[in-house]
Amino acid sequence: MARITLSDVTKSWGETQVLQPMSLEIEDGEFVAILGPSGCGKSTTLFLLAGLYAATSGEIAFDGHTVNRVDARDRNVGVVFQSYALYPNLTIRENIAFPLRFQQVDKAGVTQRVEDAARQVQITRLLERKPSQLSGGQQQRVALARALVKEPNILLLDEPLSNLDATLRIAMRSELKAIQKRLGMTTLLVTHDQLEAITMADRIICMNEGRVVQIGTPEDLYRRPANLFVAGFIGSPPMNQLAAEAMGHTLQVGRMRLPLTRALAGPVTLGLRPEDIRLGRGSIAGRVQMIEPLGREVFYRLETEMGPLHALEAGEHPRFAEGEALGFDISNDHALLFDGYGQRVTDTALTARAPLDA
Amino acid sequence: MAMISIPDWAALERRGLLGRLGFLSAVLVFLTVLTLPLVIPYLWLLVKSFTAEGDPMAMSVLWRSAGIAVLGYAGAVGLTLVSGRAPAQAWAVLGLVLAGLLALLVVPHLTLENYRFLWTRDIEATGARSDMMPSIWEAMATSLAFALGQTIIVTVTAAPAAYALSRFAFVGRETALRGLLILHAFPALALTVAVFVQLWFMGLLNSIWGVMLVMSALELPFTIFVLKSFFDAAPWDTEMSAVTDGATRFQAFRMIVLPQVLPGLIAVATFAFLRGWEEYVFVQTLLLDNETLTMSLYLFFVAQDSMGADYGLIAAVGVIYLLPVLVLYIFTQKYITQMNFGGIKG
Amino acid sequence: MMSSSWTASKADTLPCDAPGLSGRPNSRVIFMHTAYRRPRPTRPILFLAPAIAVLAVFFLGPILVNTVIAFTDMGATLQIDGFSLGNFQRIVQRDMRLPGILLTTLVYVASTLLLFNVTLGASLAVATSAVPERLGNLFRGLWLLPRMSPAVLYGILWIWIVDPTGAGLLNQVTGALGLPQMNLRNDHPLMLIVVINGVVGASFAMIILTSAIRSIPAHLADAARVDGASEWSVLRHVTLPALWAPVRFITMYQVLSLLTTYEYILIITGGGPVYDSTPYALYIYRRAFENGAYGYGAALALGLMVIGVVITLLQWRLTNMRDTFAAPKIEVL
Repeated sequence: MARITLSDVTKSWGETQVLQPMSLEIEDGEFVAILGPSGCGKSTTLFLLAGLYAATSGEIAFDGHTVNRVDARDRNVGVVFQSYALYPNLTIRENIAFPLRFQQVDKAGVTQRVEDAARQVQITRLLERKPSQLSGGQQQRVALARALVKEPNILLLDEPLSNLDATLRIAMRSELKAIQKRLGMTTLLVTHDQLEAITMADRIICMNEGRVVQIGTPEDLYRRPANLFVAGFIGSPPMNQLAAEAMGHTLQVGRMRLPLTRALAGPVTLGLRPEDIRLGRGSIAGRVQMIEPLGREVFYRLETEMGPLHALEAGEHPRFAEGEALGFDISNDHALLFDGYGQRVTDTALTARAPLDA
Repeated sequence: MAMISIPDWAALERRGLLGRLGFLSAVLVFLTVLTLPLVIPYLWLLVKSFTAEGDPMAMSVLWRSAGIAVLGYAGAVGLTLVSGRAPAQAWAVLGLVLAGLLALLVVPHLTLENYRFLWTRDIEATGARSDMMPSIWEAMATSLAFALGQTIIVTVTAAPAAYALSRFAFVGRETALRGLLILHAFPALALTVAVFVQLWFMGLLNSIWGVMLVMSALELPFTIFVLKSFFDAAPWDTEMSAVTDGATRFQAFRMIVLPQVLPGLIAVATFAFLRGWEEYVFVQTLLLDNETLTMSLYLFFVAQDSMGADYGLIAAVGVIYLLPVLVLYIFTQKYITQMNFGGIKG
Repeated sequence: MMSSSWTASKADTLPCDAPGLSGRPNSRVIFMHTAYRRPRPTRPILFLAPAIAVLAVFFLGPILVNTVIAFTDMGATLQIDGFSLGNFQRIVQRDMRLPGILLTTLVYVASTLLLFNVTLGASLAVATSAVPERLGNLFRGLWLLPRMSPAVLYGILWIWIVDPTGAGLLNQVTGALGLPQMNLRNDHPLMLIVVINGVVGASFAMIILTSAIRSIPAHLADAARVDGASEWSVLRHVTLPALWAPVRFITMYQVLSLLTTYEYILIITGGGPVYDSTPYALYIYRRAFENGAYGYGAALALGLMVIGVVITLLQWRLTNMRDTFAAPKIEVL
């Protein structure tokens, strides 16, 4: 219902600039997540869109109209705050009806819309209670209903699931996504939880230190991270990062040498996802140091010719014992190279499974 | 959904601006109008203390300086609010204009004559009734000794008591706390009569020590509770580790806990000092002869002397009396605001 | 004795440092608790002794003295002739001034409290919190001036303001506006003492309510703004509801202090003309010290003390005192 455009938007508090010039576009009806560690400027971006903070420079536009100087109350955005921010003195019904006080809605209309919104998030039984009588998950639903009841053009969610316990969080993830698809409003989710971003969003904006580091689909960020920050931030357990030295068509990793498709020189970093290490059927030598069964997967800490590696394998029971020597190989398609500045090298890849010297 | 309408963003922008400005200016006007009558008497005190007694210009100096103050206030508010971050030059211009106006309209009519008591030891030259009045220096010394003495008694007795009530588990602790709370809320001023009689029997009437001890006792419950809340807030871990490291509870108190509640000690000491410095009713009632005068009594007698009272002198004494309070308050403000009584921060 | 018991406790504490226990901070406390049930009351007494001594002689002492002389007809000579209930009979049956004094007290306390200590104080807290921080601090600082000013100085300022001659500040203003001269001390003494105490009292609520407003989660106001509330609506729907609880506390607290203090009134109007601006607390003082009726004053004071204690007990019912009485965490002495 609204397309959001940010052009060179910055934000400073006094001398400290918390947001470097930021430009991006969010399509109508899109579900976008802003992902990053705490203090990276993601909540600042959200509050800029809500109109609660004023941009220091740059332009924020909804559907092509600049809204920099439009008050929060006139932007028709719905916000779910991390703390839920329910009005403690009002009942749940009054909380949800609160935004309608400021619109010309008659009494019957208010009742109707409050109950509709309550039904969307399944809290119709709680309408006469006070916020303090509700559990965290219920408060979260009320906050969502209050954001939805005014039929906003844009829905902004600030870490909405971070105060919920793990089980509830998983349930709410799919529920939120379903509600967004049903109502179709442009939605921006701010989160530090990569799993949340990956499972819910159509697109992810990854931020670090006040800068956008990568924008892309979850798949993009996982398989084609733009740099070491994204590579390390996304994925759990995180990507293996091995210091390596490129010498022409050869890559020296630890005691290993691997062939490259294109000549490259200087120090680089080799990135390998733990699940892309295929144990027991390759010629790279290693030894199991420690085994951590995770339930459906087994996590191995290995000491190898390339250096220390973490590997992940599906299955309930470990196939190897601690201290056992094994051979493995790596999936070339998914091995990533990062240059000395931490940027991913896009035009070069490993070519062979077998090491050069084998 | 129902409300798909294209908003008129430009109109909303205007409405928002007007709404914000309207709100802010309404609040500012409210505050200013309410506060002006409060400020003018204090300004008058200042003007009076710097103008000659009987000077017909005194009143107009007051209104002029009030006008300049309002102008400065309006200028400063305008610079900060309307134009956002005003450049340094704008502030400099404002400062210059104000200084110029002051130099032209106010300064020529000012005099230091009323403050002559500060450097003249001759009492008659101070204009006060010489047969009854000691010099203001004596009154100030008395007040200072009185306030300091009270401060020392109160803090030295309250600190260990507050610590014991906060940190020791002993039989009767809660009873002691409840008793103290009752004493804290006790209408102490209603005890004036009994205190008078008791001090007379004890032979402490007319003695500065008697008043000091009475005032300290009346201050104690409040002080103990404020300090107790500071002790309550001090972390247990360090004290526990001090005790397991081999310190006695008294050593832990003196070396570990007391330094942590220093802000609290400063706050209660400030309060005790100010209470002693300004006390009127008890010193007036309990110091019968006029041999020992505190500042409050001195000022009151000077002011009561309607026969040829020198208002300029009174104002000057008042300013000198107020000054230490303000200075002390400014320096200890950050400690005082940490005070906490019964769960309510003040 | 102290040192020998200390060595024992040192030995007993040793197991706490065993690696298995050190990771759990509470284990140490629980252990001590079980090991040191033996009460040793000497040490808390040492800490409390100075305070208890001062309080006993100069606070509890006067309370006792007051109670005793309330039953005597002690006069200016400070002689005690005998004990009787005469003072109380006089209070109930023969004191013609008392009904008027009680009415004055009621009007004085109620209007100071409602108009100034609560309404003005709350308005100041709300307004100073709504303007930029530094400006708010300036105004709060100015409104603290009367509270910080020594009572006598504050009194003199008021005496100058309401001076009945043309030199009074108020009459300067009314003169400039073409209004007749006023003599508030004579004509409206009750109103005057309400304003005098209210201007000081307002800062109490201002300070407490300001910190109450500051402790409202910032996101609550943000949520209201996003929901469409104007700044006025934010005040109405977010700020005001947060003030009720502290206002209740302020009311209880200030009723008591208004009932029992009379310093400003004594300085400015002296309770006059006649007894027109004399609330109960000042009445006690005037009876005792102006008329030299110490016994009667003490009897009147006894009444005020009872009221004070009753209000305090009521206050305990309303406010949560659990934290104040919370048990210490180290149970060993």
